[in-house]
Amino acid sequence: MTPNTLFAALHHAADRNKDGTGLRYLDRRETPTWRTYPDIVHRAARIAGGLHEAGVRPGDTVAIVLPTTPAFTDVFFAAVHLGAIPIPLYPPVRLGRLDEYYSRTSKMLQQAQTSVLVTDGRAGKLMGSLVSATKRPIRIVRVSDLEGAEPVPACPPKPSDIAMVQFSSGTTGPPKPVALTHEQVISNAKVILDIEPDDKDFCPAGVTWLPLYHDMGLIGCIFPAILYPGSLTLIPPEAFLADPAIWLRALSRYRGVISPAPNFAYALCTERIQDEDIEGIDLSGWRFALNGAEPTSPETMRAFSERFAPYGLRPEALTPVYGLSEAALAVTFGTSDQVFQSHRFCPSDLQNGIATLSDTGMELASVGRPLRGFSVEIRHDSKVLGDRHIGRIWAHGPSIMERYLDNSPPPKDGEWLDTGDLGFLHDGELYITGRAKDVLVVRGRNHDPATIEVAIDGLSGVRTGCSAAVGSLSDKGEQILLFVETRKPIPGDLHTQITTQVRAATGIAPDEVVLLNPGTLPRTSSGKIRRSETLNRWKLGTLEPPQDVSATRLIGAVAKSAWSEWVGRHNSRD
Amino acid sequence: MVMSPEEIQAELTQLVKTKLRYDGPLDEGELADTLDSVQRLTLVVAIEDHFRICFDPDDEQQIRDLNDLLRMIGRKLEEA
Repeated sequence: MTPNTLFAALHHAADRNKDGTGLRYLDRRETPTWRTYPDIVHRAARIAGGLHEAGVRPGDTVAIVLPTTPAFTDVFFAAVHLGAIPIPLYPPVRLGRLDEYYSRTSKMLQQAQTSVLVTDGRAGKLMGSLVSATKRPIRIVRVSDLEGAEPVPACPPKPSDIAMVQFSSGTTGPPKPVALTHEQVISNAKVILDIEPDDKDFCPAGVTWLPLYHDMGLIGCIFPAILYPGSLTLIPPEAFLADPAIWLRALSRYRGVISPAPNFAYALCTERIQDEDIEGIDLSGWRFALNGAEPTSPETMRAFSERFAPYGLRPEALTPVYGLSEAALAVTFGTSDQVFQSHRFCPSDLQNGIATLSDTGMELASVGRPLRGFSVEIRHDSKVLGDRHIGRIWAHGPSIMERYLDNSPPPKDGEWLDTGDLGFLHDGELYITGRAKDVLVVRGRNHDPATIEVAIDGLSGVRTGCSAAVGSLSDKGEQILLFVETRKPIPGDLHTQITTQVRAATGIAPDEVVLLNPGTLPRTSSGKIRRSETLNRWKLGTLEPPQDVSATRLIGAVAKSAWSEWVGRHNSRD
Repeated sequence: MVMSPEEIQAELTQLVKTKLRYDGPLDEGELADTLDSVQRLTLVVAIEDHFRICFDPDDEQQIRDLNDLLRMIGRKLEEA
C-alpha cells in the first residue's frame, strides 16, 4: 500500500533500503555526506527525544532555521516523528541588513504560534535578536543540543493531520501560514512522480540546489525522492549562486534525471558558466529540467538549451511547470517528451483580455496541462471563460489547501482555489499572463509591492504615497517596473536615487523606473492606486496626467455648471 | 597569510568582475545600497572561497561598506 503520511513514507523507504537510495548532501567543496533512509529514521528518533525534552508535543509547531545540510531532514523528520508540525523558515541573508529579516521573520513566528526554534551554530548567533523581536516566548535550541537525547516512541500522524506549514504571499501580500496535511503533500508528491516512466529498471535520481524553506525544494524534491524511494543530491543554494556550474556537475556526476529551478537559474547558468567549469560533463540523462516558481521565459529556455546542447542536454528536457504554495506545489506540467510549446500573441489584444495568435507578438510558453486529479478554470467574476480568454486562474485538486494556520479565510470558492494569477487556456494548455494579486516574484521569492513603494517615500522629488511597483511579463521573464509621481524640484539623479533606495530597503532593484507627472497614476474611488491598471495604461501608451485646466476649459466648465443650475431651477418652477 | 590592503583590493576587484560580472563602483556608500541580496551572497561566498577564510555572522554584522569588507578580509587572513 502506498504510504499516506510523511512518517509512513520515510519508514517505507527505510524498510526497503534499496541500494543507492537516500539523500546526498554536498557542501560548497562538493564533498558528499550520504544519509540513507534508515539513517534518517534513526537520527530523527533521537532528535525527537531532544525536541520532547525541549517541550515539543504532538500538534505543536517547530520552527526550523537551518541551511541545506543533513541536519535539516534530521530535524524535519524528528518533528514528524513526534506528530509535531515543522515550519521551515529562511535563514538570514548574508551581508544583509538584518532589520528587514527580523521584522519579516518575527511576524511569521508570531503567526505560526511557535514555542521552539531549531537552528545551528551559525544562524543561531542571530536568533536571539529574532526571538526578541517576536512577542511570544520562544526557546532556541541548536541541533547539537538535541542529538544526544534518548530516542522517544513515535507518535505517527494521521493523513488528515497537518504535516507542515509553508508561508505564502496569499492573494494580499503579507506572508500567510498555509497549513498542509500529510495527505495533501503526499498526493502532490505522487502526481509529480507521474512524470517518471513506467519502467521497473528506471532509477530516479534528483538533484536540487533550491532552498529547503521553498516549496519546490522540499515538496518538489525531497518528498518525491522519499516516496519513490529514490536518491536526491542536495546542493546549498549559496554554493549554486557563487558557482552555478556545481549544479550541472552534480547532475552529470550523480546521473540526475530530474531537477527543477526557477527561470532565473537557467539564465544565470547561460550567462556565467564557462566551458572549463564543466569540462567532460554529460547532461544526456537529465530528462526533466523543470522551470517554475516564477514566470518562464521561452527565450531563456532556448538560450540554455542551445548553450548546453554540446554537453548532451536534450531540448525537450526544458519543461515549464506551474504551481503555488496553496496547492502544496504543482498544478500543471508541460510535456517532457517534446520541446516546450510556445506561441506569440498580439500584445494589445492581451491587454484587452483576448489571446490572439500573432506572428510578431509577445511569446508565451505553455505551462502545460493540469496534473492527475487537478482541474483548471479561467474565470471573470464568477463566469467561466472560454478558450483564449484571459481571466483569473482557479484550480481544483487533491492537494489544494483547506486552511491557513491562523484561521484567516482561504481564497476559495467551495473546493476551487483562486490562484490570484491571470492566464488563459489554449488547446487545453495553460498560459500565464500576469498576476491579479499585487505580489512581485523575483528569483522565486515573493515581494510585497508596498515595501518597494514605501522605501522611496521621503526622497526629494518624489510625491509621498504616489508610486506603484508592478511586475510585467516580458520575453525575458518578470520585470519590475516602478512608476513614481514626482514633485518639483526634481533632482537630476532621481532615477539613481530611487534605484539605490529600493535596493537598500528590499534587496532587489527595479528593472525600470518611470517618472510621472503628479496625478498620473490611476486610483480607485477611495484614492488607492490601481497597480495593474497603471501597467495596462503604460503598455497601451495611455498613462497620462489629467489634462491641465486651461482658461478656456475653465470657462466651459463654469458655463456648463451654470446651464445645469439654470435648467434645474427652471424645471423646479414648472 | 598576510597581504597588503592594496593586494587585497586588487584581488577583490577582480573577483567582483569575474564572479559578479559587476563593473560599477563599490566604494560609494554601503554595500547593501549597491548590490542586491543575491549579489551580496555571491560576493561573500566568492571571497571565502578565494581567500580561504570564513566569515561568521558577527563578522558580517560589522561589514557595512567596502572599507569594512577590506579590513575584515585582512583581519581574517592574519588570523589564518
